[in-house]
Amino acid sequence: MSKQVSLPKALPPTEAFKICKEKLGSIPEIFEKILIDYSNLSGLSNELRPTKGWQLDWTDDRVLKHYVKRYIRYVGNILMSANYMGFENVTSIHIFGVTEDGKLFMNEVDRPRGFLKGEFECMCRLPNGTMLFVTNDEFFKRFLGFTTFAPDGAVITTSGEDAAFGFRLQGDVVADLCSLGIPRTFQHFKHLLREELSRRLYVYMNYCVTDLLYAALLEHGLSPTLYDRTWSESGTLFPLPYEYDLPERHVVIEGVTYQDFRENINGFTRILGKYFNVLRIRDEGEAIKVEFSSDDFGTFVAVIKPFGYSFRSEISIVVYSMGCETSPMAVRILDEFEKTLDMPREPSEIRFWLGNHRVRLRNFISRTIRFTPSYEPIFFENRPIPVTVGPRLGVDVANYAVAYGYRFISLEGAEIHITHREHGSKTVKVEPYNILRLRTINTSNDYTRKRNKAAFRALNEENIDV
Amino acid sequence: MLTIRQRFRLQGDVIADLISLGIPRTYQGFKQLLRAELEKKLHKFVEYHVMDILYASLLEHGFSPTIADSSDPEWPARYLEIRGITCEEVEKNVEAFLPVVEKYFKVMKMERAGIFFEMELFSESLGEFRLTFSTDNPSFDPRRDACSIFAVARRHALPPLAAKILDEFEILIANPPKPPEIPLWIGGHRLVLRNFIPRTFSFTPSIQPVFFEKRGMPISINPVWDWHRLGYGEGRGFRLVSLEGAEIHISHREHGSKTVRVEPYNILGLRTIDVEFDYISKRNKAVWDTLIEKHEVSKKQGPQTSLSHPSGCLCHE
Repeated sequence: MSKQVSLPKALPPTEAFKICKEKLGSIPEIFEKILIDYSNLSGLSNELRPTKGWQLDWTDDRVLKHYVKRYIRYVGNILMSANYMGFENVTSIHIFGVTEDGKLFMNEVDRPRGFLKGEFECMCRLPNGTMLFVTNDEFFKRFLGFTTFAPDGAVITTSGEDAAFGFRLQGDVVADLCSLGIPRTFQHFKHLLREELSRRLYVYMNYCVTDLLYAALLEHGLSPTLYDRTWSESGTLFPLPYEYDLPERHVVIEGVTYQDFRENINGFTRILGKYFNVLRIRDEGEAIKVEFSSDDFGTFVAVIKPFGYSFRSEISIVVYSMGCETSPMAVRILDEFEKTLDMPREPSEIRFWLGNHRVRLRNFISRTIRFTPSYEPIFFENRPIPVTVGPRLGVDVANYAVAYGYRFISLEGAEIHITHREHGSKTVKVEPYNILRLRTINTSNDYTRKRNKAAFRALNEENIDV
Repeated sequence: MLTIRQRFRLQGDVIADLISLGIPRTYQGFKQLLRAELEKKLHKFVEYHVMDILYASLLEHGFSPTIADSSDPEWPARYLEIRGITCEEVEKNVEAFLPVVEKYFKVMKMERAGIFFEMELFSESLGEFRLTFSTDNPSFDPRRDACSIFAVARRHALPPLAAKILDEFEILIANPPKPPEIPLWIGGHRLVLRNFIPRTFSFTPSIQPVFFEKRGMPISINPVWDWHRLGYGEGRGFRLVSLEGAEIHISHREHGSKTVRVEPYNILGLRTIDVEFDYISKRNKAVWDTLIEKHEVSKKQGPQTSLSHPSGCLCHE
């Protein structure tokens, strides 16, 4: 025997709104007007819906009027929560809400395929057949990409968590935070910076040692060619948490075949012996690895490989560190860096625009700072070392990469000042030593196109009125 | 007769090429050249400001314009894109679009120019300029309903904003700071250049756009004569300009040290002597063979001690 499924009862929009209100406690009154207006679409053909359906007497916003008239036509379900109302169709959800200053807003977000996940309760159906569900605010916030609204003067914090997402600051501007995972004192931040430099210092040391190797090759009469390879060329698929790391410097010797070099590797060790102690040579078939050390720089390995694909015989030499973190040079550079940190400059205010919102960040620094040690390579150009601070947490740091917008670090007294012509000004304080990302709320792929069309139609209409 | 280019061998295989700027060799003449170079670029700055103001106006009228830059590496031109609207729609309903433009500019003329729709505009501070509206061929992508807008400033007259920037620049170059020494290596030769400046430098005016990011203006110093300029581009190594008291100090372990003075207001290019394309390969090969030969001789004379491996040969792991 098949199970009998009965349709929920059909109610007029005023009744439907009443039972939703009873269920949810309070709902913005404007939602009732929208619901009543939507019911007018009942019985109209597809052709007439855009022009005749909506009365739109519940808003003065001409752009919104045009948008709704043109793009909210075919609705499967209406979802309502205490502060949001969504018109769902196959591909998207048009979400209505009321801003902190009581202004009605509307956004379109992409709807995932399949059933929507969340807590729904079917309340009734409207006379035109559209089903009406109630749900919670979190359902809509998840789609819009924020979790909580930060009022004026609020302190936004990760509060013991690794990361805290989606503080809506004003209008559609949202802040995400990721904790650095350190005790929130300058002393610990300094220690973190030193540690971060120490972690990346080997790249600079490789560069300095390659410079000495280049000198030795020149002194022995060879004419080496230089070539740089950046991390993006090294086959990394995903952005690293470190922004624009120093590129790897290759020394290329033209005219010497790999086979010839391999058979007479002692010639190379003699050159290397000018400035370094050669420790060991390993032949790995496709590459020869020569380990060497220097009292000042530590232990390194020179990897020699055939270079290029042309008929010309060329080899490339790349130097990698095998342990230089405790070498006298590394300690000298780290100490020098720490001395500069002891006298930090007051960070300058960072100003930019996000759409129509003017944002000013006070007591924030860029996540990547650049440090130029007083020791400079002899032949190569001087390069500052980029120090990018990453979180010390069990999180996948790649998700918090600079390339994904995590660009600023909050210091003591950090605050975000945000201004908008319509929404006014507000200041939100940020807990120190977090990584900050600022973004806008989620919208559907073609929301901007549709809104621009609506804005243009509104302008057209104004012109006709004149 | 004015000599355009001179080549001098400084030491070993290091050559200095000098190109005259073609100006009287006084700081006054050089200042005039710098001013002229800036003037050539000012229209780009004006166009950037025009786009900034238009961006503001579009936002104020409810549009969500998208910002894009051209691929010009020196100063990428900024243009705006209004997705969802085509150039034809703007032209058809131009009366509706006029409030956006007329909020900050005065419209002088509107016309269709081939595939573009153009507006001639005027502003008291930015002078005369033209806005060009265009839409990509929809046959490439039917959903590509976007209108690109870019500005082209008129170059015949200097608008007040440009004049202000020019005045600011003139104050800056009236008292130039002493240029720092430029140390560099060419092969085994150590060079120190005194009283030289890079041929391209950046000037950031105090007047900046409201919405767009602050941009410095790259100023390149070029000779006043304009034939064969491409051959003397920075990409070909002509990167420095000599000032009063310019000198090149060059030293080499074998050749010793020397100092050469350079006449002011020339473009300097440093290079090595011309060689056949595979000379470096051949030379490296010869050096390598010599090193091996030396090694063989020393091996015969005494035991090899520089390696930890007793045989002095490769160890396979």
